[in-house]
Amino acid sequence: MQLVGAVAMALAAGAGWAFIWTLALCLLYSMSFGEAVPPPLGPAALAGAAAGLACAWRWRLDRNRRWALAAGVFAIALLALNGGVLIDAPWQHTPLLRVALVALTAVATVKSLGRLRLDRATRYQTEKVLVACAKGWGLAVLTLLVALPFYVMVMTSLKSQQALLAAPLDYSIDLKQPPAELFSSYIELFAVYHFGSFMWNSLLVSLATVILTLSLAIPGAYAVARLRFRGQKALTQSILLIYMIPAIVLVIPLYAVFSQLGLRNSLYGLLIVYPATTIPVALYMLQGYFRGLPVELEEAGMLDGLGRLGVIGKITLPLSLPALAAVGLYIFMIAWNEFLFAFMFLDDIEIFTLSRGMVSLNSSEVPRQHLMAAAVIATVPVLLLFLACERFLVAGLTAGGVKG
Amino acid sequence: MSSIKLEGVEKWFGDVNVIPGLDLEIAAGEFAVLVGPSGCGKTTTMRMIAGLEDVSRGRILIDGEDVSALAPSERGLSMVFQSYALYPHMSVAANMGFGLKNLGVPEADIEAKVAAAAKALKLEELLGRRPKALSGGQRQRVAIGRAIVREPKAFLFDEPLSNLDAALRVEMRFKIGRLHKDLGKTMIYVTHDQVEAMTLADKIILMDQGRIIQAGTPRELYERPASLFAARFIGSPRMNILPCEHLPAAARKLLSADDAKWLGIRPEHIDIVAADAPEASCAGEVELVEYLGAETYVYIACAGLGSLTVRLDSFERPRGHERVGLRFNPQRTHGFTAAGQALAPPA
Repeated sequence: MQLVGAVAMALAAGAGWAFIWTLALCLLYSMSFGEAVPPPLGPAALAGAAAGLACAWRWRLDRNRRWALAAGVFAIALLALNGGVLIDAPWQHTPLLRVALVALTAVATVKSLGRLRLDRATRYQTEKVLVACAKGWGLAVLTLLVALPFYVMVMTSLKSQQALLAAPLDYSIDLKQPPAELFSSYIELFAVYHFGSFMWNSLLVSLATVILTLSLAIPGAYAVARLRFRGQKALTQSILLIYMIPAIVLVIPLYAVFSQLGLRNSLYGLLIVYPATTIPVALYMLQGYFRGLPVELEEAGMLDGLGRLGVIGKITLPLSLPALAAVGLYIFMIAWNEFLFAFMFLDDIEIFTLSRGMVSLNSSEVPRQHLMAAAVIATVPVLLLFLACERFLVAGLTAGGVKG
Repeated sequence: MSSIKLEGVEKWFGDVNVIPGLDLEIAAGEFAVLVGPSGCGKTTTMRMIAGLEDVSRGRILIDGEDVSALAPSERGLSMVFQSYALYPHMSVAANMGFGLKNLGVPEADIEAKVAAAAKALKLEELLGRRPKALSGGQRQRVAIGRAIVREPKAFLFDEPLSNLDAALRVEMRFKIGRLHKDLGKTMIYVTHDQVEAMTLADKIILMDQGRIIQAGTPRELYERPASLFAARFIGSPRMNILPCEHLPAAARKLLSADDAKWLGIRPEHIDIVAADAPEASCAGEVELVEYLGAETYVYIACAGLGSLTVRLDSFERPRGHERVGLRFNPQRTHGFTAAGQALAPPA
């Protein structure tokens, strides 16, 4: 059984690393040099599996020889499987890419397989290889999913129309051009397309939503977490029920009602809908945190002369700052990114929020780099806010209050 | 100094009656200790006095004034919690002055009072620290300091020493005892530790299943337990309880009443004599000898009576498996009826 496990592990490690490196290097090459290189993923994975098996084979070789062996097996297998070429692109353009692909696959395979040998594979070694691979692949996939789109977004937004049309895959930018030209998309968005007012509207709506939601969710969460009353349990359990109803089901009746009430084409209308959608989760998160606070602290506060409101204001809330920051940030992001209701309700361009304004750009007349710049404008504030608030999100504020 | 009085106090949690009806009077300046096994209602009783639990029925009077409907903040009591319950987001000084600040006392007065309390508890150097930077004993002192600074009508202590290690517990016990002497305030103290109860109390209130089993001075409870439960609970090692029907005649005649079901005798009131000595109340074989330095516990198996504990001064050490006679001190035997009630002491 252990032998089977070790063979499977060697095959999987080699295949996985070869797959990820091939994908990453070919993408990187395409984006750096503006030349499409289709990654030979299937053949590379098979070749990687062969290299992994060869590397873990029972012969006794030192590390350098194993590297050479893995590289050789990988290169030959890939050549054979991919119809006699390593990569489907002219050789003279891509020598470095080929060398890097073979070398990185060999190094990653040898490194991750570590001391795994088929003749004396232990359960511990197999599991160690598994953990190492899972960690590496997870990181690689996450990077591809998160960093790559962001990179493409930023780079595209900094390019000119001509450069984009000439080489759509070329994500290098010329840093020598004057800033006004480099950031021309952004300047145009703010100057021509009202993005300043969109951003202001989004900011207003988001902040107001945060304030409204917290001011309603804090007392609610406290009541559910601390006070004993009839129906408390039923209330606690039904908080999240509103999420059973899709927003698209709500939007149509709301559209009709808000039209009648004159709330449809206004930011006040949004300020009714947004807190309604964020309060349940805010309440749920906060009540969980409030429950975690030691009751004795509040009781001590009561004996120190505070009423219930004083206890909430002077003891519960100061101790809940991390939770308040987290919940506030969450609400802000939901409100900032909300699209459906803004799209349905807002008609006048003066009161567009960012997401609504971005959709108004989506026509054949607006160049693509403007869209990308708009996406950056919508993303970066939330990103910065998150980084700024990170220090509030630390746990452990109640440490030392009660014997733990 | 304030007196505290409970009149027919009941506590129901839903349909469960945890305190079936409690009458209790604590005199002004008295140190009363509520003691009993866990779940006996002592903490609930204290929380009702503090106002942290509602009183389901009955009245609580402080200085003759009914406070049953008042909020904890209006009762003028201070409480020291088992978990200390220091405010983690405030410094030691702010923790101690918090109660006064809520009363609207001027800043300068608060500072002076905190400084005085800190001096008494040797906390001066810790005033700027946060609770998390303190050791367990220091936190406990801050919690006590916070209670003192408010100058309350009475102090409530909820098992304040149970989180401390043995050495610190003895030290803090001493400090709390001295605090009571210095301040002369009414104090109510909940514990399950009978050593704390015996050493600190003016009055011990022994509780079980929400009822008061016996209330009195430590000496009354130790020397004249009103019931089998009190006899078993107070005293370490426990009182020996022997079934009367198996007692030898020599021991049986130590009890004056005829309806005694049980005979109780404390380990220190038994002398070891020769197995066939005429004054021996009963005889048995030494099972185990525990030498503790200042004293020695001897466990003796007596046929029909079970194992008896005898407490001796350390120099008299019987050997194991020796057959010995036991002489019960006739003035110190306790008789109990089948229902567990104490009989009148022997004349």
